Order: sequence, then structure tokens, then C-alpha cells
Amino acid sequence: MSVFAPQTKAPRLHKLQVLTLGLVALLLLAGCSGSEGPESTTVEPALIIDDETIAIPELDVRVAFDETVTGTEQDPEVTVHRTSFYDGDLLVFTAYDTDGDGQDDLWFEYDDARRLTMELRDTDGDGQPDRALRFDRSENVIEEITLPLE
Amino acid sequence: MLTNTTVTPTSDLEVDDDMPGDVTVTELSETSMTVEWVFDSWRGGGRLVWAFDWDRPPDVVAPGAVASFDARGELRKTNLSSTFALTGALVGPESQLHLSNSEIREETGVITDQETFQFTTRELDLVEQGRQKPVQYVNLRFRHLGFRDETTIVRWEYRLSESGEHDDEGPTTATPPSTDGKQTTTLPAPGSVVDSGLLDAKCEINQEQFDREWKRYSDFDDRIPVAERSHEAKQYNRLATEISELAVESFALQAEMEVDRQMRLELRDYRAKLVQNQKTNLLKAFWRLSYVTYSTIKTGNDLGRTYEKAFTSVDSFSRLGHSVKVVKGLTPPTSPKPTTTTEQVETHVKELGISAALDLLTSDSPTDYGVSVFNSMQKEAGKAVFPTADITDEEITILRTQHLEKRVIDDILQESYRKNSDRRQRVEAIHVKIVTKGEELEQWEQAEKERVARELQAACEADGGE
Repeated sequence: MSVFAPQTKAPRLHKLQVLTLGLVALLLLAGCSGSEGPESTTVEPALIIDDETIAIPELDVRVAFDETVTGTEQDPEVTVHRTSFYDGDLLVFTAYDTDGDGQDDLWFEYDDARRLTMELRDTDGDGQPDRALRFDRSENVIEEITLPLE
Repeated sequence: MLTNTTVTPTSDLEVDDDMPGDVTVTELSETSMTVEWVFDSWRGGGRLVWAFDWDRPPDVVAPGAVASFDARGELRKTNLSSTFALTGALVGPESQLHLSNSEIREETGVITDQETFQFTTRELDLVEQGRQKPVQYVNLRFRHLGFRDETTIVRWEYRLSESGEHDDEGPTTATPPSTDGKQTTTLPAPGSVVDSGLLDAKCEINQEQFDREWKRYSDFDDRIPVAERSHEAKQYNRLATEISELAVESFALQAEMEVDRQMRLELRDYRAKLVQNQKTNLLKAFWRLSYVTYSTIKTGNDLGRTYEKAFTSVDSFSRLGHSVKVVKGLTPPTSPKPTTTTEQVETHVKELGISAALDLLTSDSPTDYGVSVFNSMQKEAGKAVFPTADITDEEITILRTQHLEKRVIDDILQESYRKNSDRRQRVEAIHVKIVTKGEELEQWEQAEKERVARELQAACEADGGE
């Protein structure tokens, strides 16, 4: 039996605002790249979730949300933790901690008909997806991607 | 040659000084162990139960050959963040070490894992032949965060055979191995072998003819009881069975994935009707989904449990609840049986090889089979007499509240996708296992072929070949 409770009600942003914020961030990043100093070795995470957006830059995925709902699913042998991301009434993304170690390891992206469009998995336990599967409208796997991209 | 198995007794199990407590072994056998640990710690203490069972490794392992065994571990009822690992280790002079660890974390509930451990014994020098001291140990170890060090839970001891020769050599050895002491092949009379052209007068193998006919002289013969077959044939038989079981499991999982997909389509259809408020079509979709859900559960498939939430969330409402009970009481249709059983696949593996056997299995597409299972339920749903469609606007409001506003349908969809992801991963893991076991199967086939050649030559030479 699932037990869910709305967790966050972030102020809803218009998609244009999200896009504008994204462009500003990109411009700032571009400005930084030209600065002098030691070259940064920080690897950008494959999946970035902030208060309003979920981004997978390498796959050109950007999902806006304005509410998250957390809860658990009880399997016979394990309690699975789930975070559902909503944009209005539309379920747009789910993050799962399937092994209870406190960090997510499975993610789903959906289209506006709640069909699965992408599944991401963390197979090495670093909290970041390293494997992505894309699905067609019949939910057949059409592409398998290893992250980070070569 | 495996000569001794030692399971660690309770007295040798230690707990960490920082987390003292009582360790009790509640079950102990040559192939299993269950340990209960009641501990104290600054985190409040608690109780852990861990259980292991393992398969005995091969009795006879040839130097340089790869041997394997499965071990399973389970950690139960833990109330602290736990990690456990099963570790295979080969110890002994100059031994090669092949580790295969499993490490998983969980704070509550039960965690389980299974590993296949592989080990390779070192090449033994001639000078060592005949030595009676143990030359190799294989340890299965358990590591838990509450233990400072790994604990060996079972140890197997291998020695050279008394004759000083290897009792058996595995499929990868270059030196012709002998068998496990029994000659099980029904060999033709030496003279007739030469006459048949399998061997020449000098007892040399006529390779071309031997390649064609060797199986006739092998223990790959279902008329020979498995226990009486050569070690090589037994290993081959074991692997063929394991591969077949895995292939059938994979088929069932893929069929289940398709049934699940079809059920999600039904669920989305029902949701769309609920959103559009199409009363008549909405009810049809609702009852059809309920019938398919409870039919799936009744036929023993757990995937229906995910969808059951749609109905348990409204069953406290009198009329809807009563009607759902009626649907639950309907008899599910008989599902079509898959055309291929484990036994049939095993026969194909042995007769046609793995690729052809798997091709044959997948020619009866698991997806098509899943569709046929789902269609059989849908067809019956069409015939079933469902509760009256006389449902009030108030009840429709209840459905909308439960399923849309409280997002029960979204919960079901998400859980369904997660479980499907698990199934997909299992199917992928099975595929890898089949490939690995398939390679091993081929090695044992080659080993059996070499054994037959040796025995034919030995028989020929004993008969006085030139």
C-alpha cells in the first residue's frame, strides 16, 4: 500500500520563464569558461534536479515541475522510496530509491499521456544515472545510451 | 578432488567490539547457515538475521579449469543501515584469486542477493603429485558492517588424488584428462573400433570420422541414468537444465511484461474516460479493468496486485464496493499454455545447441504469448455479466476523487513501470547468464569428446595396437 503526501508546492513558473533562466545560466557558464585560472576537473552530473526543473543536459532533456510527492511502495522484500514530480496535474517524472540507501537510482520520464519515454538507471551506486533507455509510443526500447556520453 | 567441507561453527563467529551482542546459529548444515545476532550499539541496538545457502562446488576440479558455484545471502529484519557481501576466495600456495562480491544496502525489510562464484585452481607441478596435504581451499565468506573482518562461513578443501594424477580435468585443460574413475561409455570391442575406422591400426584417432560419430560412444545418452554418466556428461546435463530453466523464466518474464503493458493501456483508457466523464464507456472500462486485474491475480500472477489499488480505493463505498466483490468472484478464463516447457527446451539445447534452442523458444514470441494471455482475459471480460451500469453521479464523483485527484492511477502507473524495469533487468541478467553457461556447456561437450577419444585409444592400446 502506498502512502503519499505532497511535499513541496513550489511556485509555478511559466515555461518561458524556465527557458529564460536556462539561457541566463548558459550565458553565465559561457562567461566563466573564458576566465583564467586552473582548469576545472569537476564533472557535471548527468542528472540535475533543482526546485523547478529536471535536466539531463547530455540527452537534451529538460522537464519543468511545480510539485513533488514522496511516498513508498512496499514490495514483498523491500520498501521502495518514490518521488513523483508533477507539472500541474500532469505526472512528468519519477525518481526511485529502490535499495533504500538514501539516494535515487531509478528515474522515469513520461510524455503528456503518461507514457514512459525514458528510463534512467544508476548501476554503479554513485547516485547518478549511467544508463538510459528511450522508448517509443508502444513502450518498446528504441535506444540504449551509456552515460556520460563518449 | 574435493575432500572436506567445513562450515564455521557458532563459536568462531565474532562480533565487532563496538557493537557487542549475542550471535546464535539457528540452522547449520553443509549447504546452509542461518545466524541471529542481537546487538547493542550507540544507535540503539537491534536484531539481525542473516541466512545463506550455497551449492556445493564441483567434487573434482581440474587445474586451470574454471569451476563455479552459486551462493545466496539474505539479510532480514534489520533496523540499521546494513551492508553485506558474499565473497568467494581461493586460498593456497600461489593460488589465483577470483573475487566476486555483492554489496547491497537497505535500512529496513529484507535484502537478498545471489552470486555465482567462479574459481580457477592453479596449475599443479608434477613434483606435487601424490602429496597428501591440502593444496587448495575455496572459502565462501560473509562480510557485514558489524564485523571487523570477513568471516569464512564455509570452506572446501581440495587435494590431489591419491594416485598422484588429476582425478579429473576440466574442459579447458590441454592435457588429456581421465574421467572420475568410472568408465561409463559403452565402448565397442577394440577390434571393431579399428574396423569401424574410428581408429587406425596404431590406435590413432581418425579425426574426421570421430568428429562425426563420437557422440554415439559418449555418455550424452538419455538412456544412461544421470548418476551413472561420466563427470563431463553430468556437468553438461546440469548446465543444459540450468540454461533451459533460465530461458523459460526469461520467456515468462517477457510475456508478463507484455500483459502488464496491455493492462497499462486499459488503465489509461479508463482514465481518459474518467477525465472525459463518458459515463457508459467509463463503466465498461472500469469493469473490464477490474475483471482483468482479478483474473490475473487469481491465475497466480502478482502483476495484478499493482492494479488492485484502483479497486481497493473505492471498495469502502457501498454500491461500487459490492460490485467489485462480484467481479472478484467471477471465474477467470483458462490462460493459454506456453508451447515450450523446460524439458522441451532442454532437449533442444542438447540436440540442436543453445542458439537453435533459443531461436526455437523465441519463435513462439513471448510478446505474442503475452498478448494471447491478455486477449483471453479480455474476451471473457466481454462475455462476463458485470454489475449493473446504474451508477450515480455521486459515485462517479467518488471515482474521480480517488483515481484522479488522489492520483491513484498515477501511483499504479509508476509502480507498474518500476516493476517492469525490474523484469527487464532480470531478463538482461538471464541473457548474460545463458551466454556464460552456454560457453561452459560447450567446454564440457569438448571435454566429453576428449574423454571418449582417450578411452577408445586406451581400449585399443590395451588390445595390442601397434
